[in-house]
Amino acid sequence: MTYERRDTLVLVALIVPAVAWLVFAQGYPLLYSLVLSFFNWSPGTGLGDFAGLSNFASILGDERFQGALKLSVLFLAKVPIELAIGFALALFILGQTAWRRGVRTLLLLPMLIAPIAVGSMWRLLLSSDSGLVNALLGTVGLPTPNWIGEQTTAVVAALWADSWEWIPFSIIIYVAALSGLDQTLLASAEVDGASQWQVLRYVIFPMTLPATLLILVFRSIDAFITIDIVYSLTFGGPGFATETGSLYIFKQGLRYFDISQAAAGSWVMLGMALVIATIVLKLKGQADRAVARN
Amino acid sequence: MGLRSTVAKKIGASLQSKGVKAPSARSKPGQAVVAFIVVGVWLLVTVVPLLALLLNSFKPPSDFYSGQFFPTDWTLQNYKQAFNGEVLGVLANSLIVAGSTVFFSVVLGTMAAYGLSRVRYAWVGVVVYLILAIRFYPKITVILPYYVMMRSLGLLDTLVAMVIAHVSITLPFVVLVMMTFFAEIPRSLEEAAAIDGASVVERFRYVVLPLVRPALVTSAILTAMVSWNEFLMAVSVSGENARTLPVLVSSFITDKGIRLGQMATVSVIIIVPIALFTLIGQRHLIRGLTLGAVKE
Repeated sequence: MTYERRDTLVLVALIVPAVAWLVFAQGYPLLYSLVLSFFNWSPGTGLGDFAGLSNFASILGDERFQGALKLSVLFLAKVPIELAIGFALALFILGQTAWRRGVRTLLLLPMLIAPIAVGSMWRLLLSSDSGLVNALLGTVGLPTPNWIGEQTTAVVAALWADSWEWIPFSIIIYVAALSGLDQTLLASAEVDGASQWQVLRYVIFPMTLPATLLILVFRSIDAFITIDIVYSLTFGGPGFATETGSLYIFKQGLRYFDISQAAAGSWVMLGMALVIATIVLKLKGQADRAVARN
Repeated sequence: MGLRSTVAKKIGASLQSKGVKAPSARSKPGQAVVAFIVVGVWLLVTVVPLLALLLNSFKPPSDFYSGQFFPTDWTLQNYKQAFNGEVLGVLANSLIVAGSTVFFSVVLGTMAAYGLSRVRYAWVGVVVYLILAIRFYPKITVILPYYVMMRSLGLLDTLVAMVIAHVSITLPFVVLVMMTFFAEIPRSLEEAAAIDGASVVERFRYVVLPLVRPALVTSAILTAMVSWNEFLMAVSVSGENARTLPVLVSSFITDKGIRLGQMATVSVIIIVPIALFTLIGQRHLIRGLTLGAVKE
């Protein structure tokens, strides 16, 4: 369909308001944060003096920031476990019977709830003397640690709460992918005498690879930049044990108002997120092409 | 077709459900038992914590240190306290912000999506990619300068600052999702209308929009949900006046022990509308959350 010049102008005019809004509230601040990271902003003086790379140097030298980045990478590293659990559960709840659809809806719930509320919920459930988790553990005679009071268990609790919220995302994408699989191909593999494990390994895994990488695209970045759930679960504590990169930057910028240094830290995070995205998108491109060939 | 049409596919090859029989439907009885146990356990892991939270909100303060599942003495005390106190105003903020966010992002986002899916300039693809990128980069990078901007505009702790922020987060969802719906509409319909003399705006308004009405509802629900749940930008620019429910929940942490009941109650107030939405209308929700990559 061809458009006259005037029509094209109308179409462009439809785009302008949304783009202007995004430039004002996302694009401009994004670039401005880069400016901030090279100056010494303070509430009194504004932008202040040019600081060169000193903000980057000091935040990269901060052991607390290094620890926080390591924790963010740990959140990233647990994503494959989410995928594995999600995949297994998806296999079991495929199908169109009413109860399967009902189960799927219930299992979807956690990912739709505000992460801040999920953190609060697990804080209550994991509290050492009054929480449900320790009450259950105590009943069956297992140890009842002070979950969010000890460094190691607090990290476990944070990883768990985040997984609890986001495993449903893997489930639901895998359900969509598995439901769309070519049934004749699976049937012919079985006729050819393939065991169930072989069907899974050589047919289902490769064919759901695009779904796997789609989940990775969303979850790897989101896990790396986690903040809400640890904010309400532990606020980074005890000590700085559960402080993620984003949470450290938040505190540095909006609690201590060291905004320039925080901005430098946020660009370190952004650079790392970009590396993650590049790798995952490259893998995704390869997987999509591989599937397209078959 | 250039970049634009491949963007939706870029983040996911179409994963269309055809409602076929599940592989597991053919499995042996032993596996059915395993499936039943695994799914059953995960169902409990999902539902019991939510139930426990709900029950917590009906517990009197004395019950909070007993570790009991059910309240010994059911009470509405927490809810009375919540609605007599700060919660009512905060709830109003959440509703106003979510409502305004839905209005602006659905109207502006749908307009932009139509323009972007019909204009044939090379830069359109670039714009779509940039909009897509907003979903993915760390929001922590934006909140610091956004705070500085709102401070110098005198908009700190106002609902205006909240709505501007939330719309900028939800617009990409609406634009990308609506683009996938617009792509599915046969061009012949618009061509026929054009031959009958309908202008671009008339074709958009009277031919295209009625066809995507369900998608508009989906966009509205998704947008409301994202705004209702959003915490980071909200906590960055709000103080006592403009804070929303997630910000209020986060504020109970500093004085823990004293306000566990309020924390549970406000969490329940955040969760219940979302749970109801999910149970009633989850059509197209997955397409929305994956920015159009998965069409269920």
